[in-house]
Amino acid sequence: MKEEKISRRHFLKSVTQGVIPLVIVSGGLIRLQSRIDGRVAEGYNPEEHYWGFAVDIRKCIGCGKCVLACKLENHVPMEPESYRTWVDRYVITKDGQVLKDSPDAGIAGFQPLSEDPKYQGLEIRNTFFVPKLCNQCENPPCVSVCPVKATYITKDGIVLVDETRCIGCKYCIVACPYGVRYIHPEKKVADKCTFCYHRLAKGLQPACVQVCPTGARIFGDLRDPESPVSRLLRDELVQVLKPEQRTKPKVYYPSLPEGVS
Amino acid sequence: MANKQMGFRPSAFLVWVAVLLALAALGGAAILYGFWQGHESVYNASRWMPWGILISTYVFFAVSASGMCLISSLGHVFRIERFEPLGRRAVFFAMISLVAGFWALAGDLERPWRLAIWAVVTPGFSSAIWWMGVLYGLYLVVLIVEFFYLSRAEMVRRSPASSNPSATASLDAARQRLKRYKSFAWYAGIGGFALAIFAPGTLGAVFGVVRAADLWHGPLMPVYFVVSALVSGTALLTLAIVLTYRLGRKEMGSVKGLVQSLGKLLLAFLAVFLVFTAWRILSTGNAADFLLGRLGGNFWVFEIFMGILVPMVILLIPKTRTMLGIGLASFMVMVGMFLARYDFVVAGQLTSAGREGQAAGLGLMPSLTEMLVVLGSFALFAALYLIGNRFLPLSEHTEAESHR
Repeated sequence: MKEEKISRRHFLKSVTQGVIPLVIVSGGLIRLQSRIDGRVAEGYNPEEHYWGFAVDIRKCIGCGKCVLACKLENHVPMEPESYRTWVDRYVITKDGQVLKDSPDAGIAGFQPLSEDPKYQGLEIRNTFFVPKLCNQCENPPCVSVCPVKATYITKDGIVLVDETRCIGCKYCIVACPYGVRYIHPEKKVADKCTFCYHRLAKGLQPACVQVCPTGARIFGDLRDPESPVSRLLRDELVQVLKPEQRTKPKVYYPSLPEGVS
Repeated sequence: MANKQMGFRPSAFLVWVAVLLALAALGGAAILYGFWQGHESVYNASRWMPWGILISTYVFFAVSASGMCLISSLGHVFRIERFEPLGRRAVFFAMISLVAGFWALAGDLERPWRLAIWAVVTPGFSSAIWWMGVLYGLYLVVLIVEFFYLSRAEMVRRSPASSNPSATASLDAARQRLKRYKSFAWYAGIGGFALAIFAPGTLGAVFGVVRAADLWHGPLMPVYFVVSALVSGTALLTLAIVLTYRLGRKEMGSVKGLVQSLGKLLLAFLAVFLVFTAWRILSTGNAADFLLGRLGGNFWVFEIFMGILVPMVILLIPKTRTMLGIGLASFMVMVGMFLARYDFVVAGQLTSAGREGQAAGLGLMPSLTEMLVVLGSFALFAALYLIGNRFLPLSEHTEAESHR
């Protein structure tokens, strides 16, 4: 009988020794997970929204205010290679050649074509600006390649990076067919456009949309039929960039000329 | 006995090991410098080409490790007698090659220490890198087990008890142990063999699944990696054996026949690899243009001419198929393979979607910091090899020779 008592005590002791750390560890993990999900502000329900973006290149004047606003809003360093959004200037020649430049992501606008020796002597058919940003793909290659699930897609359709979890393997940068990702020089982890997720939860628009002087950047909820993006999708024929990559982008471009990708 | 095995005088051995370990430590310092400064500022890395020579060095070592394991399986798994003496050296080589590879890979992750937590807590099952990491990690464990039992078996075989016919009882016990160790090693060998195919296969998939990169994308990439594993594994192993016996001024004896066999194997693998390389270039339009254009010198001179064609000729002609010739051919294959990995990693990224027009202004030369990390990896590999060669039973000599 005595022996049984001891073994029961042993049993209880080992249970407490085993269970208590287990509870602590799993509690810690749950806390970590909630910290990751906890970026969303109170009162915001991600399941009620599905965000979309449109860029009307007919209105873009290449001023670069969006690039600057994005850097300031999202603490993106002022280095030339660090940017979440950028403006490409396309020059299409009469013989169908597609030239492209984006000095310093277009943050300070563009020099006139006549001042750039690169374009001298070319017969130019057409030139225009194409602002670009993360396409928040429905089928994002960057998410499926992440070995630690540091990048993930939210219920409202935004691809985010957990900067405390990212190991910096750069596989997502390599896998993205749009070149929207980069290593943040200070955080030393992958960084990208979030549609200003921290602003969305407060009912604000992305910074680039808010500063655009011509309304070339259009943002809204695809679940709301009256949002600017939903209306544009109803009224116009739109394209996405690189549809052959089968990423299902949620950044739409009406009237995109041939040769833009 | 142990002292003579190296051929170096002990002091020379110590000097070599010290120098190599110092170089490895210098590489380690370069890695820490990279963590501190950020790779984009001290490596030749950018948002257009985030992967550089550290990834290609990792690929070089990891794939060679798998190849060596496949070659060693010929003997101690599939029981082709001629290759049985290779087992220990090949498995040991695979181990240290993998360690050297991980060393370079650690230098390419911005925050590698987080991997230990998050690869377990939130595993990315859809990620080829996750599977590659798990399989290569497992592979290292299996190799250690395999090597342990192979060495135990060898130690029993070499022990005086097994060659002393008067002590029948201890002879029986020794035979029993030998049998047990050999069977453990066999099971580990089977696991190692499977992983030596799966692991480079998934490493091929790391590149093959990237739809954006024309040069990499495709279902045959894992197969291509396994074929290249056979080439670089055989070459590295052969080169090491020739070097060990030449520099150590050791009698080769029966090892000569073994090296001849390895030379013929290498020739066959090179022929298959040549076909695969041609297929790869012919099937990827734009990317191939870049590979043949800006990287054309590397490609034609080092990858094709030095890395495949010349070694094939050397190995084909009986007159040049001497120990020195085979060693030289293996060395050339290694150099070609090392550069081929770099060209593959670089060209794949710069021709991938989303990098249009960006490649032109980018330099392709690795930075000094990166080179130091690579040098450190090779130094670590060499140091571990010298240490292993001195203290572990790696020799290929047959029973008769080792009891001479």
